Amino acid sequence: MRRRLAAFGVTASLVLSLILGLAGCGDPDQQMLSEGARSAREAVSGVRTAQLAAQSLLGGRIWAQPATVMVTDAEDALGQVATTFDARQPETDESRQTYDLYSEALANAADGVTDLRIAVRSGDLETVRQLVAQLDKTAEQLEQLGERAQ
Amino acid sequence: MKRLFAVTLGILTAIGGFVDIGDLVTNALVGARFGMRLAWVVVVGVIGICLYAEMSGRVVAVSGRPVFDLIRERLGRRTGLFALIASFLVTLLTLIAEIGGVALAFELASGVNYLLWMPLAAFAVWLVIWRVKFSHLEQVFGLLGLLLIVFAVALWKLGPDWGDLVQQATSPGPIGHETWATYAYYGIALFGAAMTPYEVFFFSSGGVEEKWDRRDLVTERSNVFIGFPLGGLLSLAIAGCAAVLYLPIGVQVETLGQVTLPAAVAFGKLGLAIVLLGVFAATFGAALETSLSCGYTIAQYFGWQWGKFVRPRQASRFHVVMIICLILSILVLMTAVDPVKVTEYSVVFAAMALPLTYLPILIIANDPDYMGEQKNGRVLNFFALVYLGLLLLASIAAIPLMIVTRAGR
Repeated sequence: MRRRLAAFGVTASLVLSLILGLAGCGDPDQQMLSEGARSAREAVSGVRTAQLAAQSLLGGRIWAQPATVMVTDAEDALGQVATTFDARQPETDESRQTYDLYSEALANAADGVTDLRIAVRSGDLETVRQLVAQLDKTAEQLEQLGERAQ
Repeated sequence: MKRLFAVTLGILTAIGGFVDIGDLVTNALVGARFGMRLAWVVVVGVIGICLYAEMSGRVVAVSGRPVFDLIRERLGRRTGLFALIASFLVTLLTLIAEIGGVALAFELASGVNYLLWMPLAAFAVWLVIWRVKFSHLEQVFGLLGLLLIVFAVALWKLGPDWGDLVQQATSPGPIGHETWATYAYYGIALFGAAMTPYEVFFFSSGGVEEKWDRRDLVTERSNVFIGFPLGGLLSLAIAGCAAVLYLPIGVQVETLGQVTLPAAVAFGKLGLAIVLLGVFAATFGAALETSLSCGYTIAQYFGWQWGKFVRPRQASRFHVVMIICLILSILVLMTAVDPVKVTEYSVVFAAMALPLTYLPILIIANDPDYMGEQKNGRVLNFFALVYLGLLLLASIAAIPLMIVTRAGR
């Protein structure tokens, strides 16, 4: 009985160590890149949604209230993506560089959509038009960053 | 002529009433991420709901009694309790999602935060249940739900490459950065959305409310076999719109605004107004159905007087259950939990509870004491068992997939 218990204990410890090892000992640089790329892809969604809503407003296809709600929702989603990514801790110099690159891109995107929300809500259509064009570049940059890893 | 009108009205109501917040969100979400590559799940789900809804409707038409009443009698209190708990909790979660959906539709139309609309939405649900006749509330919101056909017209107006959509639909599997795990997870979510348990409880209890008998089997079957598949086409149109508009630009659907935007892009303000009215009708109608289903399941299990065919005073406990469920919905939504996230979870949890809901129906539909000559035939039982296997598989895989994919991320 004791032997069995001991064998079970050893097996359980091995399995636990393996799980903890797999969970914690991945390449930190690769992990940071993967997480950054995933966040960038999620951010593209927010930027493109805000852009689409603003373009629809400019084209007279939706009225101001739904446009404001849609852009605000996109802003909230982007803010969440940026905050979640910013909470990560870079462990090496390379992962620090990756962190800074993605963090800056996400912050730029969030700021751009915030500016868009302010312009939409205040009915400043000229600024909306300019910001929509700017967000196009932001989205393209994020798309490229999103393709750097799975 | 009157009969034909009743059948047509029933079919139209079934089409409009088929889509709820779960179908709206899940189909748009899946369309944006996978294109039409999960369309086959909608087809499988619609066939499944047709099979089991027909069975539960037939049970009512033949026995004159609702399904949960018979489940308790046939399977005993303890087994019935498992089915009751699973189905009730999922229906309550769906009610929360529907109330949130109504409030979100108002937020989109008015710009006023959904948290302010939500108590009003819940109060309106209670008021309509309290004051409006069963047949009226079913027909009005079912028919208004037909406005969601705007998605099908919008899909055509968006000018998709139809060949590409067909090619997507015939090439199942994940694309781009998606994995097989997320593909399977959303497959289960779509399956759960199509086969939501409350649909059969509402359908069967509604049959009792409308005093169905054997002569109504034609109406019942035409509702199920014509109305539900056409409702399923609406689901596919929602997915199609998202696939055309969002998939190429990498947008992931997370809000109700994104679900409605394709109609605005296709038809402008008029399209948006129609789709918002349709979304309101679909979610409000489903909120009525889920509130009633919460009351139906509890009251039928405990053997209380229930239904809108009696005065509220005679079915006071039935009405109290609905009021408590509506208050619970308000309290949950007041925590500022995202109603779209609640919807996503509700369809996955619905998938988990499906076997507990549908197995008892299958058992009763095979019992000659209740069904006489109208019990299930061999072919129907074969397909019903195949579906039960699928339901079991989806139920077992739901939680592990939710953990592995971090709820579909």
